[in-house]
Amino acid sequence: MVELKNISKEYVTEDGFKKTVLKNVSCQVQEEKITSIIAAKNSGLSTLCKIICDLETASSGEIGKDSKKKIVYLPSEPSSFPWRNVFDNVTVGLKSFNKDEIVRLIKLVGLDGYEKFHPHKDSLGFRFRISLARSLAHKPSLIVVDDCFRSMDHQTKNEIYLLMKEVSLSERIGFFIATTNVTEALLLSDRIYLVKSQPGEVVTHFDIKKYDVSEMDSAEFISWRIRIENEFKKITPQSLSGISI
Amino acid sequence: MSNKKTILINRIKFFVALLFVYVVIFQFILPVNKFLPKPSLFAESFLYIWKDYQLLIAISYTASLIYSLLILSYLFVFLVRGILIRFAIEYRQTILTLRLFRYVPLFMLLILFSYWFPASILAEYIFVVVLVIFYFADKIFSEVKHVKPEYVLVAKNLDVSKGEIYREVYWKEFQPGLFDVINHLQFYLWLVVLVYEFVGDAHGLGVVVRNALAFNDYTALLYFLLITTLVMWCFAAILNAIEKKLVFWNK
Repeated sequence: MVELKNISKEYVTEDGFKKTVLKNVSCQVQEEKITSIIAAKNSGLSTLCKIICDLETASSGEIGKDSKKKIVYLPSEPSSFPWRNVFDNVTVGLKSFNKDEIVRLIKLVGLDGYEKFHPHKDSLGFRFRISLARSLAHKPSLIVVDDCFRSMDHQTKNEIYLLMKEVSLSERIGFFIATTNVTEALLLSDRIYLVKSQPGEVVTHFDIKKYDVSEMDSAEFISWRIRIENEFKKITPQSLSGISI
Repeated sequence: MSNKKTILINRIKFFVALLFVYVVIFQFILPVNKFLPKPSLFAESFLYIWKDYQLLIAISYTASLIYSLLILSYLFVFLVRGILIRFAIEYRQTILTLRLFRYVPLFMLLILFSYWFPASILAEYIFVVVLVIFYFADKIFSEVKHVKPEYVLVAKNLDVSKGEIYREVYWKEFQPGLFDVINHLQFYLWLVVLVYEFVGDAHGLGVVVRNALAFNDYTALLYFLLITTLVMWCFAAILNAIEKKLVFWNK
């Protein structure tokens, strides 16, 4: 389990002003579960994701995690290297690897037969699958997904949601998903945290069951969506422009 | 018919039309003029140009100097890429100061250099190598802040070493830009080297041009222009093919 305790992050802007992007953020990311954190854009979620992955340091607070267990970061923009083919992308950062294992992971993410393809001319979904396989190759305990789906089309998103749920179960890996999309969080997560913006601060959380795409029209799913939206209205009363449903 | 074939046919048609206009005007209407030589005279001079001016040796010397040094300079930058990129990242302020050298008028420097080392082949080689490396380094320094941060973050997160990030991520990200530099630089180098050879009276095509000017050989000058254009076009096509192979992700 990864536990964030009172994480705060402050920057000094170019004008010399101090800006607080995260304020006392506390949350728990359970092992082998999918946890989402929803906030409006520019609420410091990317910063939070980087802090969890040791790519940035917090100004204050602490992170409780097992230092032996790997946490992998998936940035919001496609991060597979266009100059490497799929197989070589999956092996980035590995000192040694088992070829069969790499082939298995490529197959697991649905890219069987594409080992020699270069990702530069392919879709966001294709590149996300490569990044996912590459993350899995490092045998992480947690994969931090930083709002990766916002530019994907509807069909690709649904396929990726399904893939992530399957991967979480089969590989026994947890996901921490930063998103601005309520439906996405409901379809993927076991737990959802709501964050108010400027500065980012966790307000509340919900433990839910993961919904399937086919359940999106169910009364239960819609009631959850309305409930989360209402919570957002309370914490950001002016508008909901920063999040999407 | 494929698009490439259509373009090629159109180009051939264009050149045939130009040739036809040239023959009609300068052979029959204006055989004596100050603009272009009479086509029959121009055709007759073809063999003599190669023999009298030793054009093949001169053009081979200049072309091999330009392209071999371009390749050698690229290989040198490739070998020291780790150091260059590290310098570009860690000493930004120093680099901003060094980039002031971009404003030094190159032709003044060129003339000075050719006077310091008159008719020296080695000086010519050193001048071209320093110039090309300077342009490559300048490109690297300007591109370093445009490298996609997600690539660097992911590499760091996956425990890729700093040196390997420089060589694998930064260098690959610079490749399209460096090939743009090569494409532009080859035309620029022709100009620079020709002027250097012309002023310094060293070797190569620049000296041949100087001799042709001394003899007022207008036809020869026109031939030099055409042959140089053809050589540049051939090498540009070769470089383009190499770029397509090496920087395939940018095409």
